[in-house]
Amino acid sequence: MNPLVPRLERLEAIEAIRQLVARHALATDQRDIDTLVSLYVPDVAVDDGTSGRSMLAGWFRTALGRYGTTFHLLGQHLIDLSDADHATGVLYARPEYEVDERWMVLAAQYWDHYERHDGTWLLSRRETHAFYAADITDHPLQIDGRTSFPPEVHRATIDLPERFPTWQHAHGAGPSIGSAEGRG
Amino acid sequence: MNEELDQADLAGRLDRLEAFEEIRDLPARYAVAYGSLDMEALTTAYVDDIRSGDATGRAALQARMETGNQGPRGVRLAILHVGTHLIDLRDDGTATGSVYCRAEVERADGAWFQQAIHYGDQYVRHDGRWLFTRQRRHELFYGVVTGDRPNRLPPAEWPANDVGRGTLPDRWSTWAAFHEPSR
Repeated sequence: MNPLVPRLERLEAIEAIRQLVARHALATDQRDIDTLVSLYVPDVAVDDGTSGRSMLAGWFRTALGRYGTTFHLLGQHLIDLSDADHATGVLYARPEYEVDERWMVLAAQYWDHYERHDGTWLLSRRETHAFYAADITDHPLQIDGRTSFPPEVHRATIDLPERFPTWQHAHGAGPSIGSAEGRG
Repeated sequence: MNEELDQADLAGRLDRLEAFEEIRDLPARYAVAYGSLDMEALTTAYVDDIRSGDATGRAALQARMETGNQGPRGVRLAILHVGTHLIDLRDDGTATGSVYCRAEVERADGAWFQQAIHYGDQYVRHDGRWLFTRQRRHELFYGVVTGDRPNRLPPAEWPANDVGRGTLPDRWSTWAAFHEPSR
C-alpha cells in the first residue's frame, strides 16, 4: 500500500467525525429523526435499556417532543483515534432549549464514542456532561444543583467540573456555591 | 494497483480534505472581517462576480455593506461566534453548508442584542479557491435583548427588526412533520 494512504485515512476519519457531530446537531434542531438515528451504530444502546435505531427514534421523539426550539452551537472538538475503526471525542457545546416558559442554556461537554461501520463513521455512545443547565435569565451558580431543568426533562448530568480528578485535586471536594453534588 | 491510478485517487482524496479546510475557513474569515468591520476583507471570501441587489462584483458588495453600516442602524460591534459547520461537497466543484452563529451586536444607536443565527451557504471552487458563491442566507432562530427570554417575543421579520422570533425552526419541513399529529 502507498505509505500516504494511512495518513490520508487519519485525516479523513477526523473530518468525517467533525461532520458527523455537526449533522447530529442540525438533525436534532430540525427534528429530522430519520437522519438523526442513521448517525448511530445499528445496535446502539438506548437510555431506556433497549437497543437499535428504531427504539432510539422513539426515545428521541419523546425526548425532543418536550422542547420548543433547540439550538446546538458546537465548539472545540477533541478527537482521539484509537484504531482505524474506533475513536473517542470530547465536544464542547452551548445548546439552548425552549422548555415552556423557560429558555435553558447548557455549558456542556459531549463524551462521545465513534465507530466506523462499512466505511462510515457513526456514534456508538454519547454522554452529556454539563457545568450547568440554567435559564437564560439565571445566574448559573446561584441555582440549586446548577440546574433549573425540570428533572424529568433532560438527561444531562451536571457533574462538571467536580467530575475531573484534577479539578478535585486543585480545589478539594468541598461544595461550592450552587454545588451539583447529589444531583444528576 | 496501477501506480498512476493510485496517484490520481490519492490526489482526489487530498482535494476533498483541502476543500473541507478551505470551506471551514470562510465563515471564520467572514466573522473576523465583520468583527473588525473590514468589509473589503469580507468581500474577498466571495466569488469576484458576486451579486448584491442589482449590482455585480466585490466592490459593489463592499459599497453596499459600507452604506448599510452608516446611520443609526449601522453595526458598531459584531462578535460572531461560529459553530456547527456542516459541509456537503458535490463532485462538480460546488458545495453547500449549514453554519450556526451566536452573535452579539451593537448598533450605532446603542442597541445591544444577541442573535441565534443559521446561515445557509453555497460555495464554489474558482481558480482553485473555495469561495461563497452568493450572499449567505441569514435566518434567525431569534434575536433578544440581553437579560430577556426569547420565548414570547413577536416575529422579528428579520432584517426589519433585530429582536424577535425568527423563521427557524418552523420553516424546516422535518420540524413541521415531527409536530404533525400522528396518523
